[in-house]
Amino acid sequence: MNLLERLVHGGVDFVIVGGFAGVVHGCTYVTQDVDICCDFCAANLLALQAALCDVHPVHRMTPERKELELTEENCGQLKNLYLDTDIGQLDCVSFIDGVGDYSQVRQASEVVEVQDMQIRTLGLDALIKAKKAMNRPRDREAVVQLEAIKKLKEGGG
Amino acid sequence: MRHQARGRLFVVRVAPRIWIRVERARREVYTQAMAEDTRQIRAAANEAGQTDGIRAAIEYGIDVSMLIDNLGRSCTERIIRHQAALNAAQKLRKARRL
Repeated sequence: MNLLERLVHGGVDFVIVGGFAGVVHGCTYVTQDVDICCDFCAANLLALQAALCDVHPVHRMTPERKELELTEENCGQLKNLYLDTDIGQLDCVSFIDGVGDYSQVRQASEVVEVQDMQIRTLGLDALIKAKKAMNRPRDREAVVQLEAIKKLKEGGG
Repeated sequence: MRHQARGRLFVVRVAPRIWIRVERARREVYTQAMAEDTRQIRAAANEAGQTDGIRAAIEYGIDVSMLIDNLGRSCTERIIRHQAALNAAQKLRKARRL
């Protein structure tokens, strides 16, 4: 199972954001990691940990790559999680620049069917806003692609 | 002897010239086809009255025909193709120089 399948089957409440959301919308670039925005409540983070337990999730931003060991107590302190697993990198954030917190991100999302699963993905307009807010060189290229995709969709292309 | 000399002359002098002409003609056909492709995309964009975003993408260097192809695919197909491209990139990154 890939990362997304694990999260869906594990009952994690999340929205695909970032570069991978661009891929879902039709962008042609290749991205290394899966970015999600999720509810950082203890129950959801513990579900995420359980979904990844057998693929060795570690905090990839810590020098000693500490294992992911969430408890109900330490979940409350977290805002972001940057994980590496045996099957790829997973970045979990609680806030998206240009869009807002998880409830706003969820509101700006749309449900897409991927490999027979219903997955929430950040909508095209919100993704363009988020990419514009980030404004790194790769975000600028993504904005150009996403705006062309929007025009092609509007034009029936 | 005369036949051999003529054969050598053909291989050394005439054949490369023919090959160059054929190759030039092929490139011309390819260039025209590519230009036609771009013209068709622009024409489609103009017809739709939605030129700004698409023109900006073409000028940025984005291959808009790939975006159009992608829009004709399902989300699952896009992700599968992305995964294949990522796998290829990772294999190339791990490859060693011989």
